[in-house]
Amino acid sequence: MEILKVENLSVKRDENFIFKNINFSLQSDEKLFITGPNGAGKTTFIETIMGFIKPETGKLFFKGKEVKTEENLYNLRISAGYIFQNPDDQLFSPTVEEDIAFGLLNIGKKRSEIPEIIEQTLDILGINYLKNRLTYKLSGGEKRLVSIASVLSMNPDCLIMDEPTIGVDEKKLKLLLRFLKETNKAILMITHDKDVIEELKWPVLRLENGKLFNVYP
Amino acid sequence: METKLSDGNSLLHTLDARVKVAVCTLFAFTCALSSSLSFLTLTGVFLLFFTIVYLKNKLKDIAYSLLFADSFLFFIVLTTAITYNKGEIIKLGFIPIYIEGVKYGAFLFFKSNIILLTVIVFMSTSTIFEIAHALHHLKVPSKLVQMLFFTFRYLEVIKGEYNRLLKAATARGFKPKTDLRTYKTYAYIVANLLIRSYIRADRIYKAMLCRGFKGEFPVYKHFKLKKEDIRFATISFTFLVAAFLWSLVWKF
Repeated sequence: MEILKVENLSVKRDENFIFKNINFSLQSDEKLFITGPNGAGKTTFIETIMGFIKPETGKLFFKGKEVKTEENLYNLRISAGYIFQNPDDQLFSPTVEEDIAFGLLNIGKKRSEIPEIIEQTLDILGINYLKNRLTYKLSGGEKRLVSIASVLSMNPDCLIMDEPTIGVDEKKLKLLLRFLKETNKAILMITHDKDVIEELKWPVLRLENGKLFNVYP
Repeated sequence: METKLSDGNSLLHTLDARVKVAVCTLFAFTCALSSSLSFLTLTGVFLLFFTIVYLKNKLKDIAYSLLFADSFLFFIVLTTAITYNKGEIIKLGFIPIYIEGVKYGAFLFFKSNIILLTVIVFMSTSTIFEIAHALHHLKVPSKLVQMLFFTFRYLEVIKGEYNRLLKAATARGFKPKTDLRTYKTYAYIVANLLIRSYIRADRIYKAMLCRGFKGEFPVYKHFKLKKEDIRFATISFTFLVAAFLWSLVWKF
């Protein structure tokens, strides 16, 4: 099943096209990398998919339905788990537990179900010991894993990750890679990390000069 | 966020933050509106009792906080003393000192210290997150609470960014002096911080939208009112009424 699809997507900034007429789709069992030089528009591409940037041209489809209304956009945002480049942007609640609960309460989960969901999510990532810690006192790698947990707990249809391996030490990277290998969610990941690309061996797309093209396989 | 005073397990630390905020507001407003020295003295004694009994390990920190605020209040006393323009005058060289002005300044100084002590005793014994949570329950407008919460949550991050910018400047030979170039450099750093804060705020908002935010900040863990909370609120309120009545009898 096709989760995300964009047709002829173009975004302009200051009269110049950042990318033009991009066609892209993400299947429910697909895991992809997007690479490209700095400033190529990778984050802009993702932010356009998430509806934060209005495209010049193009259509966006989520689960086969065109995203047109605010309600469509709301559903897209809570179902396509976007993990930001800087985890400090994502972790705003006092404790890890409360931060994970934030999204769950917003999407209307019952309070009685939330503690179990939090436990399960932290278990998946192997970071249960962080549950009661203050978010602003976590290390870079811990923040990264918690930011993934905060999105993962909402059971999104896919994960959209913007350079998730930045600032992650070896130990936390192992946890992250284990999760990425084991999860059955669709993933679209921006990265520059060649070791991660080699380790995971997912198809690689490259965004350069305003065009998106296949590099591997 | 935690402060030196919010870390502890005394009665004041374990009380429900909603009760503390309500009692603190009541005390602070009554003291601010009162012009009775006897009422303020009694309130001061009440607060000192709490400070000595429950915050005896933190007396030094409390004294420092008060002294810091007093260094500003001193100028208020000084200003009222020389600008009161009423009553008896003592000349200090060519500077006129108004006796009534000194009295009024000293009264303001005393009153401000009582209010400060109120805030220290009741509010500083909670973390900023508990206070924000309490304000939310006390029906303070949601936007105000969110602003307070986010300001404190990201204060540490902004401080970190400021330190990084300053280090980057120092690494390139910047030595602060009292010249235009130094002020210009600091202005650039502050401007940079403002821009970065704006960009960060935008990203945080986007992150919140991605997690279903619709304008209301949901609270996961709620307070539970205990017997001690009710007892504390009752004692505080009764004291306030008694002190007010007593100040009508014992006037000075």
